[in-house]
Amino acid sequence: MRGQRIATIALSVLAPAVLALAPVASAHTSLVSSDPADGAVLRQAPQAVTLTFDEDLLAGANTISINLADGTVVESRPVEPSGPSVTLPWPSGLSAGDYQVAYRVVSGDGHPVTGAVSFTVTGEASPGPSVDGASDDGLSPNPAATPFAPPAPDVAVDGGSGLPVAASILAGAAGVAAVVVLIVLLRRRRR
Amino acid sequence: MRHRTPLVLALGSLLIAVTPGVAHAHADVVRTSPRNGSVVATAPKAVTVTFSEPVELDSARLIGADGVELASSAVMSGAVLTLTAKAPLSGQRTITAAWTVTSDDGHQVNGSSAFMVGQPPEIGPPVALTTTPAIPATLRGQRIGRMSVTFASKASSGQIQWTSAQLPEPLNWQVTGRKGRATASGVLPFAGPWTMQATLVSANGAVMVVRSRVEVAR
Repeated sequence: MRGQRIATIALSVLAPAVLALAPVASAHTSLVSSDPADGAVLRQAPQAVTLTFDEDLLAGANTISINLADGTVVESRPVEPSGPSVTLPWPSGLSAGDYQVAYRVVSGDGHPVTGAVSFTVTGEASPGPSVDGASDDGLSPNPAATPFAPPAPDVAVDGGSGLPVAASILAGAAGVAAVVVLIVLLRRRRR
Repeated sequence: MRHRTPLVLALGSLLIAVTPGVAHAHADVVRTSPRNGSVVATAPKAVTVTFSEPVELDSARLIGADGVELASSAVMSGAVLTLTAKAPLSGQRTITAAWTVTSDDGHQVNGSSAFMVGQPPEIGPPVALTTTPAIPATLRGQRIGRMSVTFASKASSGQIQWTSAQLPEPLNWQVTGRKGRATASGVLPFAGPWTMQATLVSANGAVMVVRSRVEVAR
């Protein structure tokens, strides 16, 4: 356990350093290709979506979201890059329709890049490999969450709860507190 | 394995906290004077654009409220671009600076900044925007000048990029979200059709790109 803690603390200290020292020679990243391609019309749901950029991506900082034409987010999760590519398995059980695959990735030079590709699935959902519920890493947001959905059907005044902002502040504070507690714990053990 | 949760949180929050502060290899615009989206009482003689690092100037121009280029001289000094008008700018309701520069790493970046001169026009009632994907959205101010866009969305941050036939260099507005509404405001400097591309990011990291078109009246 202690080794694990030390490793984690080392990581949390080193990761930002590594990020800050990331090579500065590379240019702005952009999407080179996607599978399915932007604008594609598919008879069957894809097995996965792969986005390929013109340079390697930083690990631990990339998210892909699958959005419906009505603004619902059906899937959104962190994805680990394989070189310049990120892949998101297509969730099972999605019906035919227009899909937007939006991304926020971070290039090797630490620059966040956002964008989206869209395609249409005309056929029924293919069974595909079941990825839903296969694992819960505790990091992924609830796939059923719809963070962009309006707070209420009436747009006019004062809707919403402000919860996401509060939640993110809390999560950030909890994270910082966790680091502090760990460092204190570790120091005590050393004594 | 229970111990892992705070550890993962700690690591994650540190990464999130640090990512925006990472030194960028390419040139970003640090500020423009007058500020992008501002309303100034009197027209300046020059517009300055400060980049995050020295850049090489490829092209730059000043554009008046009718979308036509104004005679100007562009001088790059280190990281600061100065665009000086050859004739007084006092007759212009809006002034736009647009540029294309190449940073040290050989990457070309373009962008623009627009501001308004004199009294801002009365902002009309919000008008519904049709967006793809469909998110309830409204636009306030349908005439040249200060405008704002509001999405009924739990997005916590993002950016709107505006482009038009006269201005292919993107004009950016920052999106801020609060209480289920995400808002951005700035100046749309010419009449005619504009293309909007908004990138909305929620607190949990979900991303959506929302597109729309807006017709700006004279």
